[in-house]
Amino acid sequence: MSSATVTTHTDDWVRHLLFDRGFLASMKGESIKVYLTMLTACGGEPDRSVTISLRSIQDATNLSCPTVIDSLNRLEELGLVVPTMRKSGRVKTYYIPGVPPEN
Amino acid sequence: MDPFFFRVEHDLVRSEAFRQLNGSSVKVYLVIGLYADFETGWAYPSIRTIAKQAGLSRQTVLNAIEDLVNQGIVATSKSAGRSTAYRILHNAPPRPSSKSQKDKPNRSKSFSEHLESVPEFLDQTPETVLNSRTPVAPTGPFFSDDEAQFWNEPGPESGPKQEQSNKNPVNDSSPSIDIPGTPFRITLDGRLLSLMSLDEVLIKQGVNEDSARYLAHRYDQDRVIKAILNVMYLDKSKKLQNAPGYLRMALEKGYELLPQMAQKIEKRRSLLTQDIGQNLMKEKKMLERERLAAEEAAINLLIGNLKREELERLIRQAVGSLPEPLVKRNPSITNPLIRARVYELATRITESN
Repeated sequence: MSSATVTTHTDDWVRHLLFDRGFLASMKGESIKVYLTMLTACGGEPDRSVTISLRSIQDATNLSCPTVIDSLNRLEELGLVVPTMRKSGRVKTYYIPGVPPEN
Repeated sequence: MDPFFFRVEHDLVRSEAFRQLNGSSVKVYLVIGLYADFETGWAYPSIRTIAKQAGLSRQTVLNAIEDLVNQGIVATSKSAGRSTAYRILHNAPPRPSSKSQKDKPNRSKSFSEHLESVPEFLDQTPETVLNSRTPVAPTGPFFSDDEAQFWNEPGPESGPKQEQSNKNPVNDSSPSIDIPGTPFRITLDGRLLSLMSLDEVLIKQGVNEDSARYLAHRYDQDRVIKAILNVMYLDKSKKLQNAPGYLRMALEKGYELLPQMAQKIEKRRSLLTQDIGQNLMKEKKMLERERLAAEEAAINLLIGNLKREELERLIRQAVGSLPEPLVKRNPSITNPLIRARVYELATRITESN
């Protein structure tokens, strides 16, 4: 993923989300690492879906499987990622909303 | 709109350091990126601000900053009376593929191993000061039979700077002293010498071959040596995890020697000064002894050629001309004063003849 693929309008939404809306402070533990990995996987664009395996997130973040699952659950609770398809396997599709719902 | 922010984020995710950092450090990194000045890259957020933005405690923020600095992806600058400045280093090492990561040896480990072979780095006492002045100093693992090389001749340059060849170091006979545990020497006037080519030293410190060659030729060699010495000190003190990252930053910014390192090098230089002073004294004493011996030989020769009667006359004359207390106890030719006066009188006679 090169920085050239990220356009300026996408920059603002991440900053708005993390700082203006205070989601950065709300994320606990290693959730931020998982979230950044998910953002990278979806090209930094809001309102996109990304299909990614736990193994890929583990490789990218150097976290254990339970930690990744726990972080994903926290991100889901915050509304930063929305699982759109549940399968019995490990590969899941997540939707990254540009504007998460207000808690 | 601030494209800088997301670029920061991508730099982090792409780097190998991302895998090593914990969530708190990543948060702090992002906050620093948020406050970074677009042009200079420096950010001046307080610990309190970072803590508030990241939802962390002050202590966690401090630990995270330390972690980021150790990883070589954030530089800090502290000055008295001013808030600490932070800067994100965009040259964080890229993340290798998992396969190549397994194949390649761990850089920091190899560097540590390398340093372990120099347990007395900068603390070891040279065998003798005099021996340490000899051109080749077999200290440290970097020992090489190459002649010492001077970098950065002081004063105005007479012409365009010629590229120095690291392969063929320049000979210089100026006195210098080794810096224990390193391939470097310091001269009396504070110049740094390298016993081996700088790109080789950089490679030994984990910088890849192409980068090492590039850095060694791009930057002032004095700057490179200082950066390497700093890295050696920090690594020895276990305060550094990303030596190549630190090296790049130090070279880019032209870091001076760390105070501790500068102090140790200064001690070595004063040893050299002391050593040279002692040598000069010895040489002076030796010359004095030689002069006295020559004088003695001349006196013996002249007195030996005098006839007995003439010698006795000159002794009487010498005794008469000298104060009585000086000649009362020993009024013979064995008295140095009489001997000197006899020599003086005999010389006058010889000259008048």
